[in-house]
Amino acid sequence: MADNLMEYKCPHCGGVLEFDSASQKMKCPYCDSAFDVEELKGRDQGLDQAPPAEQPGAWAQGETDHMGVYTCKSCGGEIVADKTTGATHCPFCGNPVVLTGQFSGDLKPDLVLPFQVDKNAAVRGLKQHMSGKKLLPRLFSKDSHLQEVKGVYVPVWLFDAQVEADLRYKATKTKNWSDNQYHYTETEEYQAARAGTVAYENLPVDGSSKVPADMLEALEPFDVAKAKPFQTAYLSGYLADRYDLTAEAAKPRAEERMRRSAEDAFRSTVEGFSTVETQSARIQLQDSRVRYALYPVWLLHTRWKDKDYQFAMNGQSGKFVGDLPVDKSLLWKYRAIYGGIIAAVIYGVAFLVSHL
Amino acid sequence: MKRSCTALLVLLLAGLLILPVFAQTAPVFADDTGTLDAAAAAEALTRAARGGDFTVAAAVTGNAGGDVQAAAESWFDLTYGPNTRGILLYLDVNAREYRILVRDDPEAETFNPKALRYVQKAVEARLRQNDFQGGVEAFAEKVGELLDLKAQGKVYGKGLSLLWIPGALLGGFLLGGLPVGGMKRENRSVRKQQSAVDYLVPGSVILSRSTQQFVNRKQDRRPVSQNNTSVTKAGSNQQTSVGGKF
Repeated sequence: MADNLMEYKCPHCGGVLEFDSASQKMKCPYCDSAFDVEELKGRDQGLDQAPPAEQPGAWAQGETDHMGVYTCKSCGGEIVADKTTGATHCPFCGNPVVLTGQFSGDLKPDLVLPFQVDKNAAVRGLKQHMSGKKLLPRLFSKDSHLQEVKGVYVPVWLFDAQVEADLRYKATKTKNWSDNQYHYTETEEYQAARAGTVAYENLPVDGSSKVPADMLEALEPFDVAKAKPFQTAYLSGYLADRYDLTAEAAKPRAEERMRRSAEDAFRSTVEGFSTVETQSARIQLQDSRVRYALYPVWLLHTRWKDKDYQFAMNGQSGKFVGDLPVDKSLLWKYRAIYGGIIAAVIYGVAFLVSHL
Repeated sequence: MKRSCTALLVLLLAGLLILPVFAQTAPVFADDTGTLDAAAAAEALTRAARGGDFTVAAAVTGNAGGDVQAAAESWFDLTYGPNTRGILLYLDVNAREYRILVRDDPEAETFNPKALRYVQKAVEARLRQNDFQGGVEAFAEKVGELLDLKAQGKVYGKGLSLLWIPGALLGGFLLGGLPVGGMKRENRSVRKQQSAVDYLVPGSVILSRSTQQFVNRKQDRRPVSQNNTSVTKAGSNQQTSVGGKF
């Protein structure tokens, strides 16, 4: 059984410390002692070394292929976790544990964005998210049961790149005027060209297959300026995963967004025309650099009519996302109301015009 | 003296006899260019009149220049007299200009501005294609339709057709989808980001080349549709006219 597991014990009472998003300090939930995260930096010294090799355990061969088995330092209970799990809670004593082997050597993140909003804010966020939605089934907010609220550090790849672009456009200027006899339209056609560079930094791409990529992108932006150099202490009390999608696998998504954005940036410099049409675009990414970071996300899970609904909140800004169900009977009701009003207006206007 | 009086009496009687003949035999179609099928045009115009006392006529001339409005009025007066009720299409093919002249009771609404635009649109479409025969026939066809409506006690452009009810309902149903679509989108917030604009390094856009070359210039023109409707008094009738260039 691998034994690369860390707990942050309170030096005063022996309780397990957790990261407190409100004070941005490590706090003991038993004696309320608080410690600066910086003070616990020494505990991560071994992380720069290669991750420890798996040791043979009592489990049968193949049985733990996708799992890691750890021993809780507080109660001795056996913690069975997914191979990518980096921080979790002991299922027996409930103490938060950090599986340091998931963040050592090449797996060590460069940055971590600490949580800034707590679990209560996430629950409030869900209520706000549901309020004012006219097509939400009336019973959804009442009958749906909040199954789980978990604070998760999601692994992301942050890409920096310089984009070199060479674009050609067909542009037109149109002028209209009239005299007593004719309406005139004059169209001037131009060939425009733009070339240059543009730089992007800290573009995030989801590094975990467990959190849907579109959900993480919907939570953007995260303020990377508030990121800290990685310390396992920030993970205490939360769940964390290490990446299971490599930087190479994530790179095409970053390039796609940078290319589209660069095209828009250069296109916006072709001004003073009535129409602009891109004829050719040669866009290359250079000096690409990637860093590994952990982003704070609150994941909420509800169940209604045997269907699961997942919501997420940006653990830094509080931005809340998640698709809500649509009540089809309400949808047709509103369509009938709006349709009836618009039909009456159309008929009324036509009636007035015909009698003028 | 007696002879003179007799001669005057004879002339007066002859005049009285001639006038109805003149009114009945006045041509409904005249073409001094000689390029149109006069028989077909006259037949179409006569048919358009639906056998009523409302004259439907057309005149095609090749005399470019001058006041087309005045020429049309003059042609109508000389051909039918100032008190005749009727409608005339006067077409100057060389000046590429036309007038539609209506002489009718002041309270008659058969040829109201909307109805005249309906006729004008059909005529102008043919004239723009240099289809003068088609222009005259379209004129006859549309005037005939308006006179049919009059016979049914209806007036073109007044009142709503029953077709407007399903039309308005369909329009309402389609347009009602827009606000409901917006409400539906409110329930969907998980979307991929398409752009990387939030991650653009400020001031990093550097243009090493920015050129624009003139390639060509193209000019199109289309005639101004002159819908200048004029309403005046002509004899015992009200005269309405529309027209324009084609």
